[in-house]
Amino acid sequence: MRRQRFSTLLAIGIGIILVALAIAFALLQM
Amino acid sequence: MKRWIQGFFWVVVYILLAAAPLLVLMIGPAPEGREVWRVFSVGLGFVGLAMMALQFVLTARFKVIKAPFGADLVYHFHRQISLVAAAMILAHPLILFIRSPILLSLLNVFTAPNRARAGVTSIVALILLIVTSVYRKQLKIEYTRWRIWHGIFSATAVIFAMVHVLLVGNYINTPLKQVLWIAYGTFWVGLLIWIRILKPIITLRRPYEAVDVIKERGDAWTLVLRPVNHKGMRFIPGQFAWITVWNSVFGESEHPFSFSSSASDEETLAFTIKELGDFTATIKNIQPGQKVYLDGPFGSFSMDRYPDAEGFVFIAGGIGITPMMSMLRTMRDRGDQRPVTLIYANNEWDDVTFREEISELERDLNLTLVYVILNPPEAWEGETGFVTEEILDRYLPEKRSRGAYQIYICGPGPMMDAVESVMPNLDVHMGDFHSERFELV
Repeated sequence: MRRQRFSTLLAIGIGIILVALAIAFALLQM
Repeated sequence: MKRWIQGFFWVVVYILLAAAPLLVLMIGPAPEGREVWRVFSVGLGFVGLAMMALQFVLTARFKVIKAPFGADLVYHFHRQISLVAAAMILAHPLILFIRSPILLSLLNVFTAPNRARAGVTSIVALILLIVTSVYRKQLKIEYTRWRIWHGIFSATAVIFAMVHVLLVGNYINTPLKQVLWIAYGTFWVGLLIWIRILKPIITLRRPYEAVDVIKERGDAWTLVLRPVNHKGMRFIPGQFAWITVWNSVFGESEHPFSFSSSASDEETLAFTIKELGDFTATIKNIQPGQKVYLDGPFGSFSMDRYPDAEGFVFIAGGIGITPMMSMLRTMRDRGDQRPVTLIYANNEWDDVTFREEISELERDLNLTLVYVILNPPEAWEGETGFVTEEILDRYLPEKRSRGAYQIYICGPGPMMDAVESVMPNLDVHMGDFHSERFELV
């Protein structure tokens, strides 16, 4: 359970970072 | 600490590989006259595609990647991150449709150009992939069949997404970008060739043969194997391997099982497998001499990762005894006299796998044995019911300071959840608590 929570949080954290990078990409391309 | 650094390293590598397409897209002049939402949507699509490709790596059993995390955690991450990737990929067309509804006409596969058809095919395959995985049990899809479809849907989703990128072609407009895309694509194709072709060939060249299939208590069978013309594999007790049996009634199938034999046994390897349906029910039909293929060893669920521990507690439910049995047998063969407590839960006393051998181990080891039986026989004087906080408090070592005792649990999911949830109440440091799950899908 604790380990699975860790991997869920990891997935969410990585998702947030990648969306942020996509936003940065969009802004830099303007 | 070293494991944390390794883990952090692989997380950074993951993010870099997923974001790599964005870096390639940044090179050279940007397409003109594009609004920010559209570029953002394209960025999400590219990152989502890279994440889909990375999914193959996560399940490709690279020992070096799994070591710092444990295989079950990598599979769980594979599942959770797939939902993140799917959300990003679905957001790609949705943002475009919201910004310019006229693009909705691209969904009509009869009139749409091929680039849109490829995109739609990829998305449909992705949705089928997610639905069949998340709801496999509700849809009553048998595991072996599910694995085949999982491979087909995932390959379809990735290949058609790549075709979509190539046909749209907005981002392959300079020679440098073309070179980088080819390099990136070659990396993935090379990886797939390694995973799907070269690695299976290596496995095929190192066959094992069945020496014996032994019936155990609790509908379990012990499969004893010996390497054919090679040295076999060395594992540490508690690890598992993927077993492939050809010529079984279900044809080719591959499943993860814990070693149950001693890690000190250099001649043979053994797995003890409970009959639970599909593949597991065919173990008893394996004939001596029949070829079996192994990929492994895997897993970080082992006492050998903590050589300085003063002692161990093993908590097993039913067939979850197998990795514990490997650790106990290894301790016996090594003459390891550190104190070990085995808390072993079963529904019925007569179904206690390895009951007789565990009694013998009690003589050789410094072993405290606690059976917890749900439906005990008459005149039973031991513990009954489930493994509760009270039972654990009674039998866990008095000394619960960090690092002194290492606690291992393997059993049905609800039991593992229940035991884990009470560990903090018992002053157990969670760094000393280790679990591994095999119900992956």
